[in-house]
Amino acid sequence: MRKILIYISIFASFLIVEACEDFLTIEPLDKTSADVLFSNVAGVKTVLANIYQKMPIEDFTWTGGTGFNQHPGGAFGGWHKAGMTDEAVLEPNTGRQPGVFPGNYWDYEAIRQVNQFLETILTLKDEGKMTEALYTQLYGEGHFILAYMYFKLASRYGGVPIIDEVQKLSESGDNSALFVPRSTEKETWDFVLSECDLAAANLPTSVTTSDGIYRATKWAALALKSRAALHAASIAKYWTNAALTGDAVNAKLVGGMTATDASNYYLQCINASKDIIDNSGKTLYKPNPASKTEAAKNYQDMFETPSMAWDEVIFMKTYIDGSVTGQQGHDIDFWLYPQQCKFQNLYMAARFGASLNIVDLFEDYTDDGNGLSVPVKTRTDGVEDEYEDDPKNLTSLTQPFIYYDNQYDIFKDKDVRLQASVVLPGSTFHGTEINMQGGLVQMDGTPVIYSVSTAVGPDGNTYYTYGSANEAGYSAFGLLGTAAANYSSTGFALRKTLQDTKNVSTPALGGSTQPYIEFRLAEVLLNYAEAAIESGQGDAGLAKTYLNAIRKRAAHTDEIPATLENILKERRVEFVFEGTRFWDLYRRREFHTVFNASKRYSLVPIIDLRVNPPKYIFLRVTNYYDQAAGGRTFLTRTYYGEIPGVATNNLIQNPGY
Amino acid sequence: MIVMKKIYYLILLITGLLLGVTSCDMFKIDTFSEPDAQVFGAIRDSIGGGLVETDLQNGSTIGAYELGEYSSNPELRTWYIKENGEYRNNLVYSNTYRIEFMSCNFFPYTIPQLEIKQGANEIDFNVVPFIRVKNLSITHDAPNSKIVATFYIEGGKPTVKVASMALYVFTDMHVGEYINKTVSTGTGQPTRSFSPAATIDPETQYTLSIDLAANASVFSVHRNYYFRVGAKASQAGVGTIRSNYAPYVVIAL
Repeated sequence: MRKILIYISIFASFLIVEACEDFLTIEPLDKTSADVLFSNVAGVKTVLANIYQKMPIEDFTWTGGTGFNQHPGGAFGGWHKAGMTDEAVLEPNTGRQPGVFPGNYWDYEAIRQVNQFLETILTLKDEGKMTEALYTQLYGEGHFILAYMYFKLASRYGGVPIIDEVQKLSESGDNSALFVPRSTEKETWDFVLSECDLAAANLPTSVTTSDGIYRATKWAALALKSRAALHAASIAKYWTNAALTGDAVNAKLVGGMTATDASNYYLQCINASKDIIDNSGKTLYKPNPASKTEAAKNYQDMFETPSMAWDEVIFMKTYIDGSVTGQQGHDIDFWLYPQQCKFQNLYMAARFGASLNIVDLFEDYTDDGNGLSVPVKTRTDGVEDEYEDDPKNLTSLTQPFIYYDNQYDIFKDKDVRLQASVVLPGSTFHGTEINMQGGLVQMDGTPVIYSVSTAVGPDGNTYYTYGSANEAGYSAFGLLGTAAANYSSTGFALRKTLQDTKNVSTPALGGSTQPYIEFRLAEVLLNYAEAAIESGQGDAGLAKTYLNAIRKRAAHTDEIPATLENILKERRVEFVFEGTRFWDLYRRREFHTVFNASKRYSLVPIIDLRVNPPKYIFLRVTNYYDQAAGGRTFLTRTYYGEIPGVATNNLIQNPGY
Repeated sequence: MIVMKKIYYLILLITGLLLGVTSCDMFKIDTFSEPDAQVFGAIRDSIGGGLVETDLQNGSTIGAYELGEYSSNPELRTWYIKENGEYRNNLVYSNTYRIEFMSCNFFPYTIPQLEIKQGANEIDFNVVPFIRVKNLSITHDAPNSKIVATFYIEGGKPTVKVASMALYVFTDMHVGEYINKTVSTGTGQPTRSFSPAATIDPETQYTLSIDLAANASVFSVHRNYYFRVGAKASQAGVGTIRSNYAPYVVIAL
């Protein structure tokens, strides 16, 4: 016993002695310390890549409910942001329907990382370890990313705490300064715009392939400013359409902006947009197509292979193959191909249903200078605003239908961006003719819709309700309302951004690598047009030129006037499924009127056996899932999200929570 | 044997400790008082004092924020309103409240301070409904196998327009925009929508109808059916708009 005590004492004395030595404070070998990482330019660039990754871009890997950079994510389980708007119906049984907040974003940890990055590069420059030129670029990038993060915070919550330095615990123990209160909504937007200016003033006008073609340029910062300023201006102008009340409103943490503010923000949008249009060298991708066919191909190419379209693209996010490297890539192809083309028979696949609402919105090529939408023509009497709520239980179909020889002809005169964005009935996707049939009319006039059945036609042939005897032989309306309903519920599917003419390198989760376009010139052009017409500032003539340049790229030959209605319709058509519609409904305070127990619509191609040979008729119906849900409603409080953690961060909560 | 005895003492000790613990306040949930007030009343039309009917699901609600002692960061408490426009909440704390009407079927407003006393509080809220559905008649037109509703509508203010109207049917009194049977149009006209929203003429009589023959599967059972007419307004600057209703009518089919 005594011996042990002695040994312990001796050992303890070693410890006491050695405690003063460094050999116990070794650096871990499997990690890189901040000092080392920031001590050289390569390390700094590693950190830079990390904070680029933290940008809350609503891309293919964003899932409203769970957040950004989800692997697998985004399209995982058939999710797509268009389903939160009137552009599409999908993921019908769960999840984020119109009227639901787009998912929290409250990543002050990432903001701290950016602030830390900005402080560190300054130190490195001061110590002579970094050139002035590199510092300027990195400084610009840091502020661009910060602007983007605060833009996403402001658009979700209104005024938020603005933290533009690395917060430190106080020596005195009084940490009350760490609890930064919310700034007003106006101050927050002003901060976003001033950060954009700071970024634009320091970023290079172009980046090289060797340095990183996907890094931000001056034009990316200005494109962000154009978008953010238009957003802020719209809220200032349209806030009263859905005014809220409560403590947050009284303190101007939400709302509280004036007509002067609106005018000022519109002007900032105009100036930023004009700078890009005049000086960036960007043009529309293939602005003068020789034919409609070429225009359709160009437009589809831009999203299928965005790297071909750097002429127009200002900023985009790219991916590496996630089926080879873990936690990478995206799944949009995996989940959203139509049933007839999908890779594997998995739950929730192939459910993308572009709405009839958006299909009807596209123009035709009458090109008579008015630019009006032309709904698809289903009836000889021109009535195109009647919809059947319950097609399955119909006992007769007596409307004066137009007869079509096939499923596709009804769309053949529409704006080519429709066929380039939507998989239409009877069109070809991945070499397969897509069949969206959803019913038949028996020879005795009895309709059979939405259920598996057969009937003999006047020509003696057997016809199937879904146009095929085989469950993999059709892409719409199958098994509606069941868990296995891996079909479009609208009669349309997604084409834009999907790999249609090419094959996905590895048809697996994370196997898609096509880049996501965040900013492109077309948006800047329409931002300018909207800001000019809304505010009476800028040049209305240029607004018209820009509006028509975009239509010309889609093979239109006429010039239409730059009315607000035309500009907003053009936005919906040109940017369909790109996520623009969702935030347009937000900023212009239209969500609660567009979605007030509202139902989206579907188009059911039906084979009619009353005529010989049998032909197709098209029935306008209320979407099955919206009908079952009694419509979708957006509450005005949802214009601002619920601030997380108010019990501990002491922030004033937004109205209605 | 010694081991047994040790275990015996151990059990005694643990039991004693447990008993000791339970006897103290540790298991009391909290020291707050229970809800000590009840609040009830109705949403009434400021003209005529009639009840302003709504939906239970996705209808008008009363938003209450408890001020006073908890005013630093009050959370929204929702007091629900029954279809007929009455409401009751029996578990409320007496305190001062801020009342907000948002996303309702009448013009929104806020009551900055509302005193709820201990015990029963009967409070009626006078409002301006977006639309009044008046002179309603819902009848069974047996020869034509239809349910026919006729009515007039009136805007709460001159600026109000009408966006849509509908005749709903269900098998109980909760019938409305969100609780109803899906009906086929057939030769009837169960809904009308106006795009753009139409100016309201209080002199116009509207007729909506449900074709019973075309909806044989909905009305397959002989029983009481509940019919109700709703109209939805269009009005700028008031946020989310809910439907206005006339009281339901029961018809045995």
